[in-house]
Amino acid sequence: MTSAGRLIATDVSVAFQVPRSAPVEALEGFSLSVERGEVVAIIGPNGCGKSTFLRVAAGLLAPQRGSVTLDDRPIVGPDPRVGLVFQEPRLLPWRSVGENITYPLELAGWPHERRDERLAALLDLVGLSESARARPSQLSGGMRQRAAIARALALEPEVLLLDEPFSALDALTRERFNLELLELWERTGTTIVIVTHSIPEAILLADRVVVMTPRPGRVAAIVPILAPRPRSLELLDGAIVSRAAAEIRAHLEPTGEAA
Amino acid sequence: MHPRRIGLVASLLAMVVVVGCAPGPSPSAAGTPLKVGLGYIPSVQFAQFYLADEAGYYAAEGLDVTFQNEIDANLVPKVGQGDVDLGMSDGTSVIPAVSQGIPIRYLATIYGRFPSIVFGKASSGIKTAADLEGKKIGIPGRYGSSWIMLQALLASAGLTPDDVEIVEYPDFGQGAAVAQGAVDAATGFANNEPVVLERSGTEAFVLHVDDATALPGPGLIASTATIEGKRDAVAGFVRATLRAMKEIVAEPAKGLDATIHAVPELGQDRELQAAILAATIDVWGRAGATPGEGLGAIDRAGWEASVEFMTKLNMVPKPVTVDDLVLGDFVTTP
Amino acid sequence: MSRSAVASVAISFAVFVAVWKLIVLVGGYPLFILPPPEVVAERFVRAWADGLMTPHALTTLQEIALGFAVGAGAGLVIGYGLARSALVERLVSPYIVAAQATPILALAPLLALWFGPGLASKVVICALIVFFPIAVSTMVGIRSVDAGLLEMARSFRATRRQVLLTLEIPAALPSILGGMRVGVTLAVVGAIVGEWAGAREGLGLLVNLARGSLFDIPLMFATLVTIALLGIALYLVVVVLERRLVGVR
Repeated sequence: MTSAGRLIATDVSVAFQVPRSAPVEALEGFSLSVERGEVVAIIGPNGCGKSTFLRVAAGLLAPQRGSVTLDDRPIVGPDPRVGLVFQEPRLLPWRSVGENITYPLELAGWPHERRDERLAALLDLVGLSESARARPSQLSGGMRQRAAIARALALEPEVLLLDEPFSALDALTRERFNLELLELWERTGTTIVIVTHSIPEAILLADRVVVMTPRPGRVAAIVPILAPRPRSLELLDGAIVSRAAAEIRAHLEPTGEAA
Repeated sequence: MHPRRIGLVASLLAMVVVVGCAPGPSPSAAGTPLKVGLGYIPSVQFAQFYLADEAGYYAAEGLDVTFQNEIDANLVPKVGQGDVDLGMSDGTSVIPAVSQGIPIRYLATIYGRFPSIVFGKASSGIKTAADLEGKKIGIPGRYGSSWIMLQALLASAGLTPDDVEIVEYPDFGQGAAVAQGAVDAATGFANNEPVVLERSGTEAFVLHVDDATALPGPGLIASTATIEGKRDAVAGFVRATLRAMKEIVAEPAKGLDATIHAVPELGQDRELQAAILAATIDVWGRAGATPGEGLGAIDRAGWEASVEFMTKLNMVPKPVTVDDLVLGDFVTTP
Repeated sequence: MSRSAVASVAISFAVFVAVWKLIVLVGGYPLFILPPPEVVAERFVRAWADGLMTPHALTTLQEIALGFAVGAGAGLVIGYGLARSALVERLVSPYIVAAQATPILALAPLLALWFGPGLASKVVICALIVFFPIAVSTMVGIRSVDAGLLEMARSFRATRRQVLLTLEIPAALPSILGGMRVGVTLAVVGAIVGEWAGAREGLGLLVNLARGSLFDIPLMFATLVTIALLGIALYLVVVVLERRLVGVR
């Protein structure tokens, strides 16, 4: 369990240069305060800047204005306190699953034995203990994402950022992975920020749902999800949820689409 | 035109085209065709062939001769196959070729003295083969007739290539190396490098291998099949060629003129060509023989000595006798 | 190799030999034009047993090994530079392409003149011929690294050197080894061509010697067989290396 992980974004603005055209305002004045151990979902249609914010929080993109701090220390570049899971697993195809998961440890200079120790724990955490020696090509899409999540948690980050991690999975598998993510969260207590375009997923996972609108990307509303934990799939049929969903929908694009 | 008539005209045209494209001349009005490979690019050293052709000596023998006047690395096998009727080759090639089963015979000597020589500046003080010991000798490479000639020359003085310093010039620049003093001596051709050296004002020495060991120089070769099937034509060719050679020995200008008529580019430096021709005529005859006498004659003793020498060089896997190599029917033997 | 692979190689070889023999029989070629396979085989065995072939083969092998090492080394480095820097590519590629377009056969005598008739000129010629395919395949391979993987490595704060060793090289290996397959066979050509421009020893020299001085055509063919076997062996070395380094992906 970690005792840190307070992520605060203040007035983050990002504009992309477009040749022979006016700059695109991907993000304008984005502010968000994520508490320790909180699960926050960010939802919005394409171009609303949700992924852009995630990359700023991960230190991969510098904002034109504003800042992001983690436990009062600013994020100025890729940071070991932040774990990042991309939309695609982005595993190295020539390495085994185990070698992929310990990749960040290798880069950080961990010795062999410590890496092996940590690997055993991570494999257990995501349920891949049987697949440590397999190649990514031999795994299903879902298992590859599990490996990517394990990799992101390798250095025990305070914050785990996930950018539409399950969008490539079918709806049924997706639900199962949502529950697995919740289990993982309960075991590690890591602060989670997940970008998604699925309203049920956002509601199932999050304490709060940040709804964003595009052009320019900004926060339209923050909807609290008052459902008790631990969450379950049955929750999705409940009244609390449908009210939250309706509120989320109301703040999204007039079409009500999240993607 | 009526369709039938079109068809008739078309088939007549087709027949004309086919007949017009029909291969080769037949031994009729033009004479027996003979393909002769000279093995090198047009040069005044082939004056006798140009003269015999121009003066009609071949035609008088009932021959229609076509010359292949180019460098041909495969001339010997081509002659052996009959793709070329006659060619030019020397003992260093004929002996291993016959030993390897190529069915050729040497018919007439063109170069009574081996034309590949060792030369250098007279100022080097080298006068005999023995003087080469310890000296730097430039060669194009350890192959070919010049390499064998060098080994024979050194052997005649009791030396081997290990007793001298061999410097290789794969680009055939050994002549320039001599002129620049990079080497003391080099292999070359009697009618080439020494001539060039002397014309540049430097006196040259020339070592002939046949002063010490007989090595049969280049001569006319043909396959046994050609000799059998075109015997009269071959005899006529040899006769006509030797006739032209005799005339050129007596009157070199005749050979020079015929050459320039055949290869006009050579007319740009008559003096040089005349010098080369003179040096060539020099090596047509045997050492010490009267110029113009005994042209074409085959030196059986020389061939025997060569077989012995080349066997020592491991170039004669299957033993051969002089009768396997030469056929003296077309010339007089000394 | 699997049983069926061995069988198919054996069968195709047998067909090749049979067609050769047929051509000789039907064409009625004499020994000194096209020797039949059994004569070449006998001469091949004898040339090795007599120790005639060995020094020449070792010399050519040495030229190839050194030439390949130099050419591949340069190719890897320059290929990497070309992949990483647009400036390098703009400055250097015209010369590389021009060098590649000039036939080695034309350059060989010039190089023999500059570097002498010894080992050096053959190594240079070999290296030149090997350089281009490996430089290009390295450049292509390095460029083919997935941008997503590069970003992932960046997110874990990989240093330039770590990116090179853990990401770029493994990603580029299939392409690089593909280039090496081509390079190694070209190296054989380069060594032989280099020898033709002047040499004291070597399989290329032996071919010329057999053909033009000894008139031993079976030996010439036996030497060609040796050259072919050399090329095949070297190619297989790269294939095995590829299997071990690239593996399952």
